[in-house]
Amino acid sequence: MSVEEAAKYVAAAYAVILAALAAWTIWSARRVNALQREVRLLAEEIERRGAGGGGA
Amino acid sequence: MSDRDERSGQVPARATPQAAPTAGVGGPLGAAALVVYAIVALTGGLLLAFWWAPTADEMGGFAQKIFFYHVPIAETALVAFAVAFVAGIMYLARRDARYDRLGLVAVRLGLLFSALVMATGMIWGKAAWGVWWTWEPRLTTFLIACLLYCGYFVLRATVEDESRRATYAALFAIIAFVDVPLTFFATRLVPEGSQLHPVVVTTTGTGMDTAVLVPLLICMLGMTLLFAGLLRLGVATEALREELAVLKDRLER
Repeated sequence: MSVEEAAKYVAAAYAVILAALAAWTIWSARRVNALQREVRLLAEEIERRGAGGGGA
Repeated sequence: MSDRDERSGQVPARATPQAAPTAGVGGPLGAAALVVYAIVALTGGLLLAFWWAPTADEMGGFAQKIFFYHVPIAETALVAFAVAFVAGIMYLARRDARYDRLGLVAVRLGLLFSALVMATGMIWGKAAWGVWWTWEPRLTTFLIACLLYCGYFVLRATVEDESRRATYAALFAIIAFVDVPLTFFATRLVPEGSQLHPVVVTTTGTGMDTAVLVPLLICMLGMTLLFAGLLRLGVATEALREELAVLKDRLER
């Protein structure tokens, strides 16, 4: 197999790896950020209700 | 979750905005830092693989360059399943939900890396051997491992009780791990003529040129660091999800 032909397979393999790993990493980081934000908001809401002296 | 404060109805201390369970994301050994170290190692290893390492004709010529990420990804997949195995044992011994979370995230990442091994292996196989797939020992045992660990998620989805789910998942991760050494030693257990994967590491050494071994080891380090970073990120995510469930439960009361 020529280098040019093999290069297509090599490029395809690395493209699959890099795309999958980058997508997973970005998705995981965004999910942590979104959850952190949601936890912070809920905790603040609970604190606010607690300070107001009432429950839901 | 054991942290719920049923008696007082107060928000537990670690559910405050400052104490959200995100430990493991920041810091010099946190997820973000580990991912950065991994990117540096993987980029360096790849540059060396392309500009320093010679091309081995017997391994598919230029297509052999796939080897420098394919092998580290395979190693990382097996490490991930080993982490799930240890987490399973630790969960059964201590009944601590943290080990259940660790096992869950490790299996999830193990499957991600396994899927990448299969994909890159098929591409390399087509280039080097002329076939996308062949039923040889290493490929078959790896496929069995993938299917087994898919079953882990099916099991988790079918058990509602948290404690029972964690126990069954831990047992499953321990039993499924039997396939991992089989996968690793598959190339050594059968005669060389009946398989396509070469035996690279033997008792007498790796048989690899330094210019091949060094980039490979750097890529292995990078992939392991990436796994560690993603593992910490995943565990933090699962902890946050549980924290969120506790807070929502508290808010509804």
